[in-house]
Amino acid sequence: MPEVYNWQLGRKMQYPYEEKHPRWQFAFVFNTNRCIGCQTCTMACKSTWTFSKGQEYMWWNNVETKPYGGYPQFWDVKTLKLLDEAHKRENVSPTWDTSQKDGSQRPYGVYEGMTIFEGALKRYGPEGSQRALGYIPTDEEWRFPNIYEDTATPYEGGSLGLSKEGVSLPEHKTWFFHLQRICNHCTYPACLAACPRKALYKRPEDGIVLIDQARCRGYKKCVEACPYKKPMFRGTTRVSEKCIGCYPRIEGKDPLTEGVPMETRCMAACVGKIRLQGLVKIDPKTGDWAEDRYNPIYYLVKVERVALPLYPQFGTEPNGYYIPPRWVPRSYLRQMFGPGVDEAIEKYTAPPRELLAVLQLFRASQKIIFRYEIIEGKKVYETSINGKNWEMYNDTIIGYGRDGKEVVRITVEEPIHKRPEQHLNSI
Amino acid sequence: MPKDEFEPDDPMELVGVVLPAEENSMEIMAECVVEEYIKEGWDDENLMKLFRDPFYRATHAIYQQKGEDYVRFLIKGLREKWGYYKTEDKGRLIKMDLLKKKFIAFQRGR
Repeated sequence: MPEVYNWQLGRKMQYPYEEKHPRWQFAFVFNTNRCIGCQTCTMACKSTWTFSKGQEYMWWNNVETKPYGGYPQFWDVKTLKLLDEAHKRENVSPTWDTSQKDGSQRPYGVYEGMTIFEGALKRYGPEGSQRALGYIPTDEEWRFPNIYEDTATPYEGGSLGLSKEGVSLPEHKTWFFHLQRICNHCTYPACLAACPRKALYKRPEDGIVLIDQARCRGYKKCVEACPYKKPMFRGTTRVSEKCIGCYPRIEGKDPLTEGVPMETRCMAACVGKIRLQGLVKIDPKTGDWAEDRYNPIYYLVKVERVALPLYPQFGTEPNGYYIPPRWVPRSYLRQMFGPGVDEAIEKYTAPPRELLAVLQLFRASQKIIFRYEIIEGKKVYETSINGKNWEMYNDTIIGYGRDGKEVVRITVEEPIHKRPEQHLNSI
Repeated sequence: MPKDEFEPDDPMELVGVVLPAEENSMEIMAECVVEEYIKEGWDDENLMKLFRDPFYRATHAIYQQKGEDYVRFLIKGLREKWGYYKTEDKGRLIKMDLLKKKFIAFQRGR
């Protein structure tokens, strides 16, 4: 089996296909600290792509409440369990050697455990029934995207499970956070690796992973293999479907943007300003992200390392990155986002001057920002964070589109526009 | 094992059980949320609404457990820490819709 380099793991790993990379890669950063779980992104996606017959249970974008929830239910716990069993079987420890951290090619150290590809290879062999450790969720697991997130137990009494008087159910009384999920358009997709028909492909122009609907025969191997459970089977057409990264918008075909790439529906709809989506340039020689210091995604992921991949140990090199929630126990976060968590939270809690300005770009424009520039402003505040002095400057950040034209200009102290009370709900 | 018995140690049983609360876990969460929204320019009254409104589950749980005085004290303390974000912003007041008002009335009547 060929070996490919996975920079998130800091090492080469086995993957069914030779290393081949797109010219640009679709990538995004979600700030979990600011999400209030309003589901506007979920509905924006649903009303655009999955409103038809046979797609009722499909939520290409979903927001789940961790640690209680999951869509499909238990998706991460089940895959983690499969991986854990593989490690026990092979007597391998799923640890990270963080002493080997080395720049942007190895930012989190080296993962010494097995990926879902390596686990499957050990278990089933190169020609075995599975290319990646995985499972097919049951219908019940798909059916209830946010069940038991508000209350810990269901109400089971009454006709149809309904109560005329209303009931009090036990609530979770501990920490939680909202996890926003779409397809990660992975660099080494498990769905693509598993498809016996080679119906899945990664677009050379932007790295978006698509299912060729004409080639797909609905074998559900992609559904089984994807550890994030983002390909979904459609009963009415008997083929699988998945998030398409709103590719017509990425191609700049929406008339609003006059030909330049536009953020996806879920990103553009975010009212909490927690999302930033972009395209990162890929170095054709190394396959890694080409150095692009002033691309906001590159800066957040590779320079500041404040945004981290979701379950990097799965080995698919996902292209979705998360600023981890500050209040959640670190052991939980390390399992979910890898060993970069402590550094990321430290940075985010007392953001450096440049980071504070870049955070202002989140949801500042529908057009994808390819480059930013900062004009220094005056010092406006000084305080102490965790015993250290912290200064704030009212810098101005300017974002530029693919055509080099300015798409947004915003200050750190963002002006607030007051709307007259009689027009509160009008545009 | 009978199906109606939960095993808190079983990772497959996360749903169906109330997770044991760690000390201060909710308070730290509330502190972080208040900081985030102060940084976004919210004023004290709108921050209070995040806590009073039952539809914001994390903050409302704190409000229920600790009471209004605690929340006001929390906001005041963090406002002092992030003092530069003081804004007078009456125009952004969020009006509760009828459904929420009914829900609150229903909760109080119970």
